[in-house]
Amino acid sequence: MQTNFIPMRYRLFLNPTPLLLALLITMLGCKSQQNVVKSKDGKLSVDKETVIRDLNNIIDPESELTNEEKTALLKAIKDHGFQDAQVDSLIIEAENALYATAQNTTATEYEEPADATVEDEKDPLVELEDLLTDQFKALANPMPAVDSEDIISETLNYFESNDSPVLIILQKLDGKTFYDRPTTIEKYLYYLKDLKRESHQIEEVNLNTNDKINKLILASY
Amino acid sequence: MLNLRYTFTAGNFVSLVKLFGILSIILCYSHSHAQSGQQARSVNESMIDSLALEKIKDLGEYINVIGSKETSFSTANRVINRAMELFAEGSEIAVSSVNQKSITNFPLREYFERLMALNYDKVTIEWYDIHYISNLELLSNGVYVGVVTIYQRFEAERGDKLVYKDTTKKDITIFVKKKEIVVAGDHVDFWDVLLGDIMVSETVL
Repeated sequence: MQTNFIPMRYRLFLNPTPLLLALLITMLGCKSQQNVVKSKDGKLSVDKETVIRDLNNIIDPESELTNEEKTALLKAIKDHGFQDAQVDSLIIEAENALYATAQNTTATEYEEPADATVEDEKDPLVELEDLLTDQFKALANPMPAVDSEDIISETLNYFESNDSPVLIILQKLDGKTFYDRPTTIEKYLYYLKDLKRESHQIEEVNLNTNDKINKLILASY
Repeated sequence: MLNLRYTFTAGNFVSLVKLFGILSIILCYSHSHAQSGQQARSVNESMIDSLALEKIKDLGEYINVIGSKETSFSTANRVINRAMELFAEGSEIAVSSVNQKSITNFPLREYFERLMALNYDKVTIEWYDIHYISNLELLSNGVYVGVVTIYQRFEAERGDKLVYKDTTKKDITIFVKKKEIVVAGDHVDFWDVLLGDIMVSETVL
């Protein structure tokens, strides 16, 4: 624990060497005498009002103290060992307040990765392209347990119709684009399934107003 | 009297250097221009060469799927339709056998249906050594025409016994034409590859 958060009045008692205490009491003078008192049994102590004020300061959510400072201060007060019901009650309240703050902080910290995920979240179109690429690969390299017909049906659901056009770019040369004979998505999917051909790269996905693919452009390079 | 003798002066030398420089620039320009034109054409041609070979490989795979006894009836019929789309209308396929000297030409669909119905337990058809024997040449009507040779290895089994096999060398005519189509409102220029007749040039065991 970083003791520099703890007010001097409590730090005095962390290592209460009599010599140091005596010296400090002398040095603190009048101002310190408001906080540090001598109990009936002769022991030095911080006065109750100061402790209550400090505890209220810990409880106060708008206090200028940081959480670390509050935690350190509360520990110092508890270590000091007041035998007072009001102080004990405030200590519990302060502990609850710090616990609640810690919970909120934890919740915020927990949410941070979620926020980060939102930032890292892929463009839906890119996700769709990745999904299509996976489906194409699954057709070209079928697993024994997976029915290719299911993959085709599932993939067709992303398209406006089974006849949605698929264009395959052969080459781009001198600003011109050369295509293979246009086909349809259903024919292309069965082409992958029947011939186990490696799929082409997805170049462009065009969506209609219902977010269904109405044109898919692939590239063979 | 006019002096026709050529006298080499400093002025003449400068003119000669200038002339040489201009000629060099013209020669370099025309050479590089011709080269770039040639390069563009060869890139274009190599692209359609590859495309046509891909279509032939596809046909070889389709024939294997149609002939395979593991292929369901519905799949075979669908694949026949896809294979038909690779051909120019009216194309025929020649069929030979090591047991008969004659070669028979079949319309495409009939050939595929006979292939599907072959009375064997297992049929394996493999195409290999696919190459051009006549490069694609541009005709005056804008169509590229070429001929590709393939070797087809055919093996048929009954039970576990190989009952027939042959290897056939076949020549396939290819037509490639640039076409235009409107797709989803956009004009698309595409290279249309169509296969023509498939002729048998040699059949061996």
